[in-house]
Amino acid sequence: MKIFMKFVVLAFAYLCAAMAFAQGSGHLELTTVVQKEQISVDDDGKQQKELVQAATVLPGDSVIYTITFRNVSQESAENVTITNPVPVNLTYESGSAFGPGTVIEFSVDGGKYYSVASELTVTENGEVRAATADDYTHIRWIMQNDLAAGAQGVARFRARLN
Amino acid sequence: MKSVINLNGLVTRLATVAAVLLFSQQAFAVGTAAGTDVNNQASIAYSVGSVPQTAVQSNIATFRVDNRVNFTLVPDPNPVVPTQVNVGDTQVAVRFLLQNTGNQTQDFAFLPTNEADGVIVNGNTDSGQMNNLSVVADNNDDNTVNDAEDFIEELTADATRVVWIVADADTPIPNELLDGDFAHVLLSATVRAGGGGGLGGIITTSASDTVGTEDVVVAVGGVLDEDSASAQNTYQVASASLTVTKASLLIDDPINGTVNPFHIPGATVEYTITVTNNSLTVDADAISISDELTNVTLVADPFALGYDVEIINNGAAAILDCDADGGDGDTDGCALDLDTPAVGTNTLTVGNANLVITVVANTTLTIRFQVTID
Repeated sequence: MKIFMKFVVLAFAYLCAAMAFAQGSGHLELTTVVQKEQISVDDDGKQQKELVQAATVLPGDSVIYTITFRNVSQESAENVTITNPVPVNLTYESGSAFGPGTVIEFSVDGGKYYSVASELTVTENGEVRAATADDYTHIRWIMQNDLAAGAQGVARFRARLN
Repeated sequence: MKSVINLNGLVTRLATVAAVLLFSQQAFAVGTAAGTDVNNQASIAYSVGSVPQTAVQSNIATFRVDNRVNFTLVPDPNPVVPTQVNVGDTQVAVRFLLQNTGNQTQDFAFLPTNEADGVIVNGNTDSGQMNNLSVVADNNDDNTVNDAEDFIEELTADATRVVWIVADADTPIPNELLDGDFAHVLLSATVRAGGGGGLGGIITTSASDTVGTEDVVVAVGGVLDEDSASAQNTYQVASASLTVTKASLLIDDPINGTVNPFHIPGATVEYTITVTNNSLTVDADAISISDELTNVTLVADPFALGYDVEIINNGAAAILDCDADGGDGDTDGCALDLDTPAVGTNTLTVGNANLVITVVANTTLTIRFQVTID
């Protein structure tokens, strides 16, 4: 019960933050927040992970970006694609990108060409090799379905401070 | 050189090169500099009724990189190779390397101490103490012990600087240093705030996390709130090192004269004792050479010099000679003690309070005399 209440409070706080930050004047609103994962131990001695504000971030620490998008219009949006560059000084953490109902692609050339992770390559010293998470410069989430009026979606990824 | 798919001309190429260089530096660097703001902005593209719409930008999410305080201190070379020191030497340096493995420019304060007797470093047991320990930080990075400061001033993230402990092996020595003794020293370093203008103040972990500010996390060696580290180094004493050799030359015997003489009673033998000081820096003071002469008799004034024993000291200006007869009260510095330590043994001693012999560093002293076989 206690945990559930905490979740509700967190969710509410998060929603408020999202609304406060919301941008855009068209059909869609888009918000990004940066957080850290904090592990705490509850009264029963169980470890809990929760996302907190990224207050103290040191080299080697991971941060989590959560991108929330919402259709605030009366019309359905098609071909919805969210794009996020991997911020300067951060390295994308392999496998961390998440987005329900989306296909996730990556770019290693500054966002000019995208592909799913397994098909990306890098040419280094004249040799072609599979791209790794260290190579990624951009991430994008392609929604497989339309975003209905009033509907909301979320995309998320984790990155490590160099 | 790394290149990526879809290179579109020189500008892109140069940009890629720059990006790769940047990445390479980051890969080797300790971390992103404290105080850096890391920004993130997402965008969303979409269509409505098959008509593409203007992409929407998100807010910019920002956090500020905090100051992780960390450093390493090691002897150089590592593991320690003892630094040779002669008794009497002063201002002998042993070397350490301090690397700032944090992500902010810092100062560092030092405290040098002697390790106690019995402390073992790299298999060598401490049995002596150095005097007058001080620290010199190579703040001008010229790898020469010529800096005034005993603290590190403004060491940037990832950079390494040389620090020396400088110590004397002179007298009075708290714990007499002998040849071959090891004297370990300990250098303790404490991180201080950077910012120039001399040694910065003590820094501590920020009391609270504050969004958008550069918080401080002091964690030397990965231990939260630890602000110090230490390393050991070693002096090894090499005192004035004397080697003594004795050579004999058969001069004559009563039957054959000087032609093919034999070691028979009445034969004359010339002895040459050579004392060499192998130290390059330390003089051997007040040496005394004793020689036991068994069943022989010292020849008086064999070289027609007016003395029984010839002393040639290469390191001294004058030739010193002395008589060995017991009748002069040994005031000339030579003594011939009969039947010492055993009957039939005469002990010749050269050098005493009346004749202070110094073998200067890297020189030789030669003592020459003759005896007849009883």
